[in-house]
Amino acid sequence: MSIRVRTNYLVIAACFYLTLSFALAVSVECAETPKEIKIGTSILLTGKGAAFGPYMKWGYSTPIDDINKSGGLYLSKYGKKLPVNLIVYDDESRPEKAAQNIERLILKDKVCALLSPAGPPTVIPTGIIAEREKIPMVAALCPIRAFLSAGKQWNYVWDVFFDELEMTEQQFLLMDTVESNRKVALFTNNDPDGVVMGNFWSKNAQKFKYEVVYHAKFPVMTTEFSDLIRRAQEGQAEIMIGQCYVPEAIALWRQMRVLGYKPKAAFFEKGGEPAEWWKANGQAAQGTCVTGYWHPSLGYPGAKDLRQRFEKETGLPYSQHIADTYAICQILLDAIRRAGSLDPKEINGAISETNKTFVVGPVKFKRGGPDGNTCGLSSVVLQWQNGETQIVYPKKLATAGFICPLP
Amino acid sequence: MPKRWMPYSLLTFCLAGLVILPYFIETYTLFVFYTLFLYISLAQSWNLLGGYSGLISLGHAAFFGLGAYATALTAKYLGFHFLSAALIGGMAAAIFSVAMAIPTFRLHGIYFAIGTIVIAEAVRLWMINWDVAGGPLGIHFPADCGTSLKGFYYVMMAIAGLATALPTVILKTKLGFGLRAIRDNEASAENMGVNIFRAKLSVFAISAFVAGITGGIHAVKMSTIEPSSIFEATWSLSTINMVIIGGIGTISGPIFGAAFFTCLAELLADYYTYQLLLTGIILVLIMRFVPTGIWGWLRKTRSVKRLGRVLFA
Amino acid sequence: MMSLFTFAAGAVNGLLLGGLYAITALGFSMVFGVMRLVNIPHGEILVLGAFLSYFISPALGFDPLLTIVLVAPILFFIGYLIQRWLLNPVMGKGIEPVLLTAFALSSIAHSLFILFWSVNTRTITTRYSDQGLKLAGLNVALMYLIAFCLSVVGLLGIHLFITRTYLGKAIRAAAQDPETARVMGINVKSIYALTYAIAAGIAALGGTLIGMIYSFSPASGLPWLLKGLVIVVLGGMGSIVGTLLGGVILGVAEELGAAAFGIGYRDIIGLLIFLLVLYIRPTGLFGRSSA
Repeated sequence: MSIRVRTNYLVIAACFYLTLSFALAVSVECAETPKEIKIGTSILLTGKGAAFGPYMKWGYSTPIDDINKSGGLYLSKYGKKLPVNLIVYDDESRPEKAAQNIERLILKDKVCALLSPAGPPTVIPTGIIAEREKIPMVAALCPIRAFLSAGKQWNYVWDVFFDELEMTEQQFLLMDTVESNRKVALFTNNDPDGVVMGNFWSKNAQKFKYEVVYHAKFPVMTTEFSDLIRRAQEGQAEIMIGQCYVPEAIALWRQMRVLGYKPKAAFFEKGGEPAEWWKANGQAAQGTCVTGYWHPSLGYPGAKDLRQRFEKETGLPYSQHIADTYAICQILLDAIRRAGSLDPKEINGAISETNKTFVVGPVKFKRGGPDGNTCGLSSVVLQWQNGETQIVYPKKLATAGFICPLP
Repeated sequence: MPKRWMPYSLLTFCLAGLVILPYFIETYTLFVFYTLFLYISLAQSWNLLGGYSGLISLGHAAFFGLGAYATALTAKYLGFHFLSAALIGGMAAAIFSVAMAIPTFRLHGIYFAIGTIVIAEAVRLWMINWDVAGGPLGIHFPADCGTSLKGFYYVMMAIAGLATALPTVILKTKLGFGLRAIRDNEASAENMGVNIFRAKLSVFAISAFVAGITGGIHAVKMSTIEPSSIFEATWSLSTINMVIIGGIGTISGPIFGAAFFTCLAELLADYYTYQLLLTGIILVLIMRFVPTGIWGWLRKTRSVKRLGRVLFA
Repeated sequence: MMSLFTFAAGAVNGLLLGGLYAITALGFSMVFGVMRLVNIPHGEILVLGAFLSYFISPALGFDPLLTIVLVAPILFFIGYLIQRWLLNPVMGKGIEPVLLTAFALSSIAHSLFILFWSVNTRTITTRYSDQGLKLAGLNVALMYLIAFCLSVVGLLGIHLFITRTYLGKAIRAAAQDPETARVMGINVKSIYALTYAIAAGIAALGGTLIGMIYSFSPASGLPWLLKGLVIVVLGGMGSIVGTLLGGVILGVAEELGAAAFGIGYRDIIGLLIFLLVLYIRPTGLFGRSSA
């Protein structure tokens, strides 16, 4: 037997036991009586969606911090209050990273429930993992139709957000209140939101009797839009509707100005929503629109205070997403309390029975059927005016007049 | 010679241990081992190319990803069982490698490596734009496709076993000798009568096949794939790191490298970027000071040799 | 089908961008021409230039184009060290060590960028970033024009350096025949380090322009490396004119291709050209054209 073959086997065996002992050493031992309630989440703290990171972080952690100040959440099964521990990982706005994080939260950190990452590209894969491992997850920042486009019946994952069916009508309803040549240019990126909304806008344009003269479809993180813009210009569209991330939106708007394409109205979904949009563009963003599902002026419990509190605690301008994430966390905590235990199945059952008004509005999940596990929020149209978003449609909720054409 | 059976029994002991392991450890450790087997498979498949044939491919992620995609498409639209789908994934990757051979085999050394980077990137960009394969959204697997974590553990273990056995077997065949001749000196190999193109093509296809089924099974486990993650250059880089660190051109080198990498990944699980940084630095240091890899260095160390002699002589 | 307007716009933009592409590829072309080293971290050096300008420019209150004067020496220094300490020692030990060291360096740089500056995408904006001019009825971004002019100046500068200065001649000697150069008293290893350093310095210009026209992130290195590859293949090495030509061809092909097939295919076009050229002329293409 040659030395080489001998040492071959020696090393193989050594590797095996090395990895084994390592993995065992790294695994965590479970205690008999739980000392805390572990909830996990993966947030886009960096990456292309980083603009939304601070809102999610604040929205998810604040209800938990509040509850921990009073000693924790009371669980009837153990007869006492347990503190809530929120474990947060950064997923860099990347689905694969988010999936890894969620798997780690479930397998290694052994959380009993999850708060979702942001956006369909991350919510769907992590949702599928949560479903497989039967850990309940409440989803924020995930449009309903994109959520349902995963093509499976959700049992353990719950979504509260706007419904694209309704949201993609708002732009046309608003434009019906002003004069225009009824020609629309669409700019959508190719992630799930973009594709879903692009389809709905095309259909709704027909329904509301507008003409889509050009539909630009571009890959996520495109930086060069000149050619697309030129075509929209050729079609003489006075209305521009787009869906993309913040960096793309900033580049697109900037290039539109360079090329001299100035529509009467411009809608920047997702990209035009956070304060970052106004910060990067300054006055050039005046008059741009984005649909929303929440505004401090809407009369839900705690809505107005939420904005003050957020801006005071973080020093950042607010965004409607503080409400959705805050509410999601509230929903989960409420469900855990009602379930009275850390058993994921019981918590899931409690979530399904949610029927209460939170800071984002009344929440009751649809059960079963094609819309199962979702709760849609009504949409309004917001417009950037002097650094703030104002509701401009529907009229009965409006906080300011609609500026059209763009200044 | 009573001790002659010792290495074989050691190996059998290890294998038996691996087989019954899932019943004794908890789920996260299972996951770690699954990852270990995944890495071993990838490392061995790359080693076939880079270690034994001298074909340095910097675009191995393409085979991994294409295997994943082919598996996803067959599982979702043709309703195949995930194991058969993965086999098809492997074959798809192998077919692609044959197509890829046409432009790249004319190139040698550095140029071949560059060609592989370019093709891998082209594949990634193509899949991002190809709507048939779901475009940037990728593909979600049907919910019932796949198996439990334990099941994946065993499947990946089998693939790792296959990946390790293949080079062992090939080395003893005519193909194996031909490949090593090519690696050492292509011109003389040709003089000796080795059909260079056929040899390279075979090893390319085999390597792609292994990487392909690995990608297929991994895709099923992840339940969804998309072009920007599955074709990431990190897969190529990590695979190469493992083989180099472990010891290129040996059978146990990649295993060692995969184990090293898995431990590193666990240690630095919270600091993923540091992990990447560290692997890069280690690679540079090894290339400079110990080009034969840690395994190669170990083999030459006297204490290890002595230990081996004591155990097995 | 494409209207004449779109075609003309595409061609003009392609031409202007071609200048930018050429200057970004120049460093890569030089390193390959002189040392036969495929400089895989080249993309990361460009990105480093963009990052440095991005941070230094507002810190000092300078226009980003001015900060190039500061960034170039920094990159020069870093490039010198890389070649001297990391690459020189492994050159001549065979293909694998150099290739893999370069590959590893690129990954190390990428990780360092993420550690220092996170994965977020950034872009360098100035007062004139948005401005456009009308050029024969077409709207052209001012920045493209600036980039083109600066690139041509840079290319010219390097050309003069290589042909007129003593150092330039030494570099050419080392490139053509290292052995003879050594015999003639030229320290070839130092020349290599110097060449790499110069290439890195040029990357300061290319990188800053990239940062101003496009956005960049730690992951932006690879795409620019690949563009550099395509340009070298198209235009040959060692020829400044060839590099410019290669850049323009790529620029125009990308613009027209994007207009014809869809914007998503923009980056693939360059790669497909690369593979096509390689298939047609696999050997001789990497040969030197007369400098």
